[in-house]
Amino acid sequence: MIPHHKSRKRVVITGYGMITCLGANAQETFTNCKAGRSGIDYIKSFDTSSLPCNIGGEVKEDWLDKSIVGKSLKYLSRGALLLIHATKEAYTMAGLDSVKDRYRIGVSVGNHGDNPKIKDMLHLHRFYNTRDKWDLAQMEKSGGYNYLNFFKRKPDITSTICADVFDIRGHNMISVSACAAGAQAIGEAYKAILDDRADVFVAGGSESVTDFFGYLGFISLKALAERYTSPQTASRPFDRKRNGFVMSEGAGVVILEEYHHALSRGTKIYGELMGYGASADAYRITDMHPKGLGAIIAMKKAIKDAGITIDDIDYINAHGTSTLQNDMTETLAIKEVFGERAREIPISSNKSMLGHAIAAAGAIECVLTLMGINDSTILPTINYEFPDPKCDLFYVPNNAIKKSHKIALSNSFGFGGQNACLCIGAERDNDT
Amino acid sequence: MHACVSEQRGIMIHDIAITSMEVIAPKTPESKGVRFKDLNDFFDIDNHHICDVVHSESKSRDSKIIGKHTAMLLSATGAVFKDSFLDHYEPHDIGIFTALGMFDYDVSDLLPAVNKSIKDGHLDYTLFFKKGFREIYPLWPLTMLNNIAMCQCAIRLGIKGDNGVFSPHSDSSLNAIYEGWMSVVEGRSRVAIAGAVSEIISPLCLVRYLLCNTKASRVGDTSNIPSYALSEGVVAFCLENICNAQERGISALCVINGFGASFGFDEINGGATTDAITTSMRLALEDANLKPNDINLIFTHDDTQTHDGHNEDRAIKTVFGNSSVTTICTKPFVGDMLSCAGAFDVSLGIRILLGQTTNIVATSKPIKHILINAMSVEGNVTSLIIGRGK
Repeated sequence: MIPHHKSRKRVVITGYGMITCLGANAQETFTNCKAGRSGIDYIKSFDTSSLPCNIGGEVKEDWLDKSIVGKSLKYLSRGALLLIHATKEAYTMAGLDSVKDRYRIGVSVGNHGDNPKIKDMLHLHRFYNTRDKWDLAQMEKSGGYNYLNFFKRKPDITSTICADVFDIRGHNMISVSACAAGAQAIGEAYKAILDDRADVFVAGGSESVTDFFGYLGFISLKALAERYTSPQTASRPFDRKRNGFVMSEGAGVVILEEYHHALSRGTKIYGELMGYGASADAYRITDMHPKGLGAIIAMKKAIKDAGITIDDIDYINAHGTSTLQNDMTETLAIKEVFGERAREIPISSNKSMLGHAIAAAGAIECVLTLMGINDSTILPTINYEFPDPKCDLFYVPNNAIKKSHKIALSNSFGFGGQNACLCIGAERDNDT
Repeated sequence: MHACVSEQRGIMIHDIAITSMEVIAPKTPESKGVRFKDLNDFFDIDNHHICDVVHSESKSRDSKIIGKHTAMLLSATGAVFKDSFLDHYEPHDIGIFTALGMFDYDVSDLLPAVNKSIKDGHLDYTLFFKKGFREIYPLWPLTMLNNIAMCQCAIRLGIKGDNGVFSPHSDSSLNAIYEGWMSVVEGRSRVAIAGAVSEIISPLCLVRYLLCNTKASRVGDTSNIPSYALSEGVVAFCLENICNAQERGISALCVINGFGASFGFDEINGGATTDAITTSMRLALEDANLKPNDINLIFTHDDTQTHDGHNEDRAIKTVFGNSSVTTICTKPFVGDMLSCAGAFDVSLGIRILLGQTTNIVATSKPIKHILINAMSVEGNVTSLIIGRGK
């Protein structure tokens, strides 16, 4: 039996959905990850010839069904469209149409909105005059500027349009905590259900910043992989030859539900969100804490929140970005939390196959962790060829392993030092 | 209300209080009668309000990426941290939850790069990366991430606990307060800071506001649109268990009684539906274990950008019937602080509960409970109830 808190509510997972560079849905993505395939390729959506990094994980255009959105399409950022696609899969899986009280369903999403477009900037600023005022009349004469473009930059557009499309009327939250946003959004939803603010939450993350502006930003920060022999081998978490992360886009969604509510609907339960921990590094804005202090706090909090001990953790889905700093620091943090057990626990990074989808990453990895538990499969870290003496744990190199496991941690660490950790468990007996 | 939560989660719960607050705003409600004729009017915060932060950060390695947004948040959260003696707590026991407005690029950060990348009157992307790009400060991208302001506060104040960042409208400020509140209720934090910063009034912020406001009328003629000027502001609160505060000799400014939230987009007029606003207020009342008659004052959201005002009126009538509850909207006096608006109303509510401001609300009845509504253009609604501290 899986250990847990007996004194409080349980939050179970009754549906999930995904769209990534490796698949139009959760099963396709999982199957490809299980086979150790990479979704990274040369960027096709814009000209990268002037950039030192030309690769990324793009979602295929023909996978996207824009008809789901209907009249809201004009407001929609690509990130929002990805979210709605993933939500449709999760929503259908959980059969949420059967939930009558729509005010008891909430939405919690991690997203940052679209990047500004340089062409837009150039156009707009022609009408900002020397008196520090906008000349709207002149702007109108020259063809105007579509105010809806501004909506696409708003992070909350994703969560509100998602709520509108699926007639979800409860608490609506948007988390903007960089790479930790997806996991934090799921954590916030989990807390809201524990506190009886809702029976069900659509929770996850989405992001699409694989554009010129997005690349420019991360190249400027020297965070992207710029040395690679092929796109597919560029993302190599924990490998000695790693030299940065690979950008990607996508969305991941889980349907979180209060256990008895799920039982009363007779819906299938796929697993449980057992705990959540969040922390701040409070170190430097550009660097992780060298000993991974923030990551340590987040993992310890998630384990404590789940009412379990380190001995109960069977697998760790690492943040594993393929940057020098993250992978080394995360390894140190895992060693600090798990002591000797750190060497026994399989650790892997989905980013080796999917790249880094920023606000979507934590949510996608949550879904893959859950699917791995249900399939008794631990997904691999591909491109692991040259062991790094500073990353000396078991990273499930290159091939998935078949292994029954019940409880896993999923780490997400954001730029600036925001950390989130989810504790995900298998479906268990109805013992509460 | 909280008692249920405590039994459920096995944690000892007492009322959670706001024990200190800091408000920086360019206008005060006492300056009654301010009206705006031109949508280009706005109220920004003079740098002298945040000069301590600007001065102390000017020598730090991050000085180039500490924009006004971050400086404002640092200033307010720093004051609250100091006033509440939070250095007595372990860093991981302190939570921080913030609401931040939209982050816009600063034209001056990019313009030199763009100027060096123009070829035959058009932007040349190759030139942009090879030449113009060097004009951009390498850490500039961090200024475009909303969470960086919160992380700077965590760094400066040494806060390592539970956290969250929400954006970009008024509802996000009440969400930040709610999350801070719940973090303390659940025992994830012993004490939490909740802060909210408005959008920084930049050219982009202004044009966004102007275009969205004038979408229904002839561009350039805004005379028939009753809207409020944009305003900058920052508010921060310290939230903690009232018993904790008492033990530390700190008195409560107010207690938080309840919270409600809902969503409903008015497809015809924009803004939140009457149903969504009604539900949010009812949930807050239920959460606070209060009846409509117990509420003495409502801070309405009513930004008049959308139909919110009419729908909110109808919702208040639905929930409160013909009771003589007083309503007040601060936006005509202080402008629209967007992501900070809800938190600003909470701060004013606290002053009213403390009897520190007298010329805002004309009522002879004692004010014990105040409800604050905050919404987004897209239909998110949040409602918070605060009451007198014990």
